[in-house]
Amino acid sequence: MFPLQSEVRFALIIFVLAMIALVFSGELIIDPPISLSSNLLAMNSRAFPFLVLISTVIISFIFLMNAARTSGLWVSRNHSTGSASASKNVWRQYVFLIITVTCALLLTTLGFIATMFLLMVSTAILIGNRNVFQILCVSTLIPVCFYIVVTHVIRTALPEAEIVQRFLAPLIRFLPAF
Amino acid sequence: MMEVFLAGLDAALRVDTFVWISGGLLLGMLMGSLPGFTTTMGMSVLVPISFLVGDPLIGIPFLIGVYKGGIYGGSVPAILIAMPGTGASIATVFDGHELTKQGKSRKALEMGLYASVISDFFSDIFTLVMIVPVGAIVLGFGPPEIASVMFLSLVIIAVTSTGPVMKGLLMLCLGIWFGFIGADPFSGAARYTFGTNQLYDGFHLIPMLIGLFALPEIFNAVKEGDQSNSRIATFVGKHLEFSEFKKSLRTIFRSTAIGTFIGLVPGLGQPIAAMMGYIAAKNSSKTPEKFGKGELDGVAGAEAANNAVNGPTMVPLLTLGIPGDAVTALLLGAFMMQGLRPGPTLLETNGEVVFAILIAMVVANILFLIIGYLTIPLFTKVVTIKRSLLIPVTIMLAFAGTYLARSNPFDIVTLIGFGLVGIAARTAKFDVAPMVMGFILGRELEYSFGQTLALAGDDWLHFAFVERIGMTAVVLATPIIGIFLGVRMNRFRQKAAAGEQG
Repeated sequence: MFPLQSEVRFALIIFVLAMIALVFSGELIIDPPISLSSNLLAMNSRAFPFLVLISTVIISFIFLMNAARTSGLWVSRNHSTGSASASKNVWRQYVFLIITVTCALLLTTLGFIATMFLLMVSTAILIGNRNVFQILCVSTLIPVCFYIVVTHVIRTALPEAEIVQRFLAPLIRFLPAF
Repeated sequence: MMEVFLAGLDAALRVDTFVWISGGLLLGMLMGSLPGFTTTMGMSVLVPISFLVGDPLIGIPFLIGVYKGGIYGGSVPAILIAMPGTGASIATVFDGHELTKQGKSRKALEMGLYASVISDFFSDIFTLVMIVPVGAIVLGFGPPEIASVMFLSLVIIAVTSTGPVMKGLLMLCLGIWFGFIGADPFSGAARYTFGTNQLYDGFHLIPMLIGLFALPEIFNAVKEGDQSNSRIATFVGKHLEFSEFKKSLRTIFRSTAIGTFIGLVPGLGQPIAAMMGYIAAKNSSKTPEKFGKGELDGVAGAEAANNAVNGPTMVPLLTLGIPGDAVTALLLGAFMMQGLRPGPTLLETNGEVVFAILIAMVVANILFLIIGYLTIPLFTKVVTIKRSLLIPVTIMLAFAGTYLARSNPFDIVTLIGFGLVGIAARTAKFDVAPMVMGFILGRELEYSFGQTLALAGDDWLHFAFVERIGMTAVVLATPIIGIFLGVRMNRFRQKAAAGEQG
């Protein structure tokens, strides 16, 4: 058995999600505790989502039927072996995704500079940079400079660990006020 | 209106505005000239800078600088190493790279610059002239007319997007779906919020745009690895002579007209304009056989057409709030973050700012010419910069920009979520541009549609066919226009594909 074609898989996911959203719209659309009477509201809060979701279901269904009729739903054997050799770097993308999600979750806990350092170092290594000095310089200096510019010049807060803030405070004090 | 225009002129002619435009042009050219970096990605990570500077007369012209510079910058790798920096430069490769092979890369790059600046200048003037009459017409629009024009625009965007029509329509529906998540605009009902307060306000536009446009590009770069420095870019040959430039003037003006028209129609965008400009130049040439073998007219035709799109896309954006493509969707986000709401009343409420921005766009072309001419040798070096140095900086800007928009950690989750949607769509070869348009326009469409129903009351037949016949005509014409455009686009794509192979 070969996997589904990527476009078929994508359309199928949308189709299934739209069906679920349509079937459970009664539970997923919650009217406010004090609702306006129907003669004051020109359109029910469920009407527009219903129209959009039913259109989504119909279009994705037509797309899937069309795909089944023309190119087929599954990846062919030849295509499968071809793409296997081409997708040898896919593991890097999965690692990148895991790192990105982890960094997104850690941003407020670890702070901007530390999280960006981790994210930039891992991205540089995954892309293929093997120059340690270059990686460390770019991943340290750019987030620090960016943090200083944003917090000191533009005066906008970025999440930062207290220890890093304390470490950077003397440096920021040396800078002219804006 | 003249007073507002003069006030706008006064507000536009500021040193800081032009310093930021110059910065934007440089950054845009940098982004455009890096193979694998698109203008959309560059703009998506730079949008937050535009609102951090506070003043819309600095932030918006800065982004317009990035836009103009990015579209031109894409021609640099297209000409030098046959790798178009942006989709808009695909047609430039045909003759631009042939000229490089013949040792005439300087001529090709200079022709690209002059054609871009001239077309940009005239299309910006056209925009400035058109905005007042279009704004006056649109001011008379009520909810029924706005709803019908939005409906028409959404259909045009879906059928003219990259790939089959069904894919465009599906992405459009998905975008509208994401758009109605949150509070219902009339009753306040919570729709698909799963009981969370964060979703009650709906998804924020900026993290969505950054997630959809920047993360998939970075994801792709991770897969491809560090390849960009493996080619050698050569910048050699004599300067472009005036006689050569003069010979291409007719082509430049023809392509400017093509690009200007395409810019006015939502959804078409630069790649189509460039291809049409190139085909028109070839068809009207006395020596069409020279095209594809290093013809300067080919470079002029493609580059003039793609840059001419920039200005006119602002007409539907500013007057109706309809972004023509992904880049103008980003501009719409920047306008909204600055507290300006593009739409029928913008010219009335913030006419001075609108004129100032448009005048800055026109004047920016002079800076474009100077900066472009002086930095051509620099950007030919940029083509070879390692991606492993730039991609980490881009991802940092994506995260920081998302957080800085509202200082809300939930936006980072939105960024990742839409990033995953963008990656999945890219893998499945679905264009995300219709999804963004659906997200932006879907909310407005629902609101206008609801208001229209309220206005119509019980006697909707009389309302539709007597009171608001214009609205009905647009709605009835929409499927016909959609089918016509869909068929034409299919033919055009086949022709363009044949041209690319040839």
